Amino acid sequence: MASKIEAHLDVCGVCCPLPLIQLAKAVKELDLGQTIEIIGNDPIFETSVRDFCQANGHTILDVRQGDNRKISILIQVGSSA
Amino acid sequence: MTELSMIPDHGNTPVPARKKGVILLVSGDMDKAILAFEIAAGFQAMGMQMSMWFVLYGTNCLLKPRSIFSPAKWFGRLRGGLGRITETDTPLQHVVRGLNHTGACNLPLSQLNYGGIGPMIMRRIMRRKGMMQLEDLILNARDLGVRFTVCQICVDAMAFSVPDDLIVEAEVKGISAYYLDTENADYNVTF
Repeated sequence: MASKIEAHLDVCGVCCPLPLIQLAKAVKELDLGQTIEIIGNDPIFETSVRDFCQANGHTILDVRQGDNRKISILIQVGSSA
Repeated sequence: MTELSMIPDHGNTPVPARKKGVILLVSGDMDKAILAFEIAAGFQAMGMQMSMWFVLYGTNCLLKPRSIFSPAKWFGRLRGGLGRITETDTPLQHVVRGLNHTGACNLPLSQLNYGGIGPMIMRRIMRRKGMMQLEDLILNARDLGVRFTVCQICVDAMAFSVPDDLIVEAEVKGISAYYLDTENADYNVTF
């Protein structure tokens, strides 16, 4: 488990496809192996981030369910797009 | 049978070349334009290389908004630009320019338009739901690297002055370039 998280991204209150767009922009800034934490409350937020990671070769390290339908996902960047 | 050309990354692990997608936007309705740009931006974010083509009224969402009462629309000189042949211009093109209501903020809905009240209601709902408006979607798609191309004969016939009238950078190309784009595309839709 990586102890240091390089980037945080909060996409609460916006809906599909804005979380994906912001996540793609944020991942582009990061290097291989760095981690990013993204928090969102869209109903399909978790599935869309999982699909994004599967399509681009990133690894999901941790998924935490918060209150108020918020979900926080920790991603390790697998391939630089 | 899929053929993946291997391009080297900074590491030694070869990754498959990016998939390509093409979206052709013909309609000038707000709902179809939003759908087209949402798919383009979303697919680009997922890692596909998207290019968008605009013909006829589909170009309206890329044009700068200008009021139907603006004198420049009716009485201004028809300007040249990329892909324009100004020698064969006719005054009728002023009529087309004047009646064509341009701008991403001025597009009508295909259903429930009610003379412009429908889009206002729809925008209010979208703001409330945290959805992106069409103008923001266009700029987001541009920032992600979606390529925009406008059809040359539409530019010439409807007298669009290409670098000046557009809110984003776009190329002007013809059917041969569209063929080359769609030939190797994995995804191709028309709105």
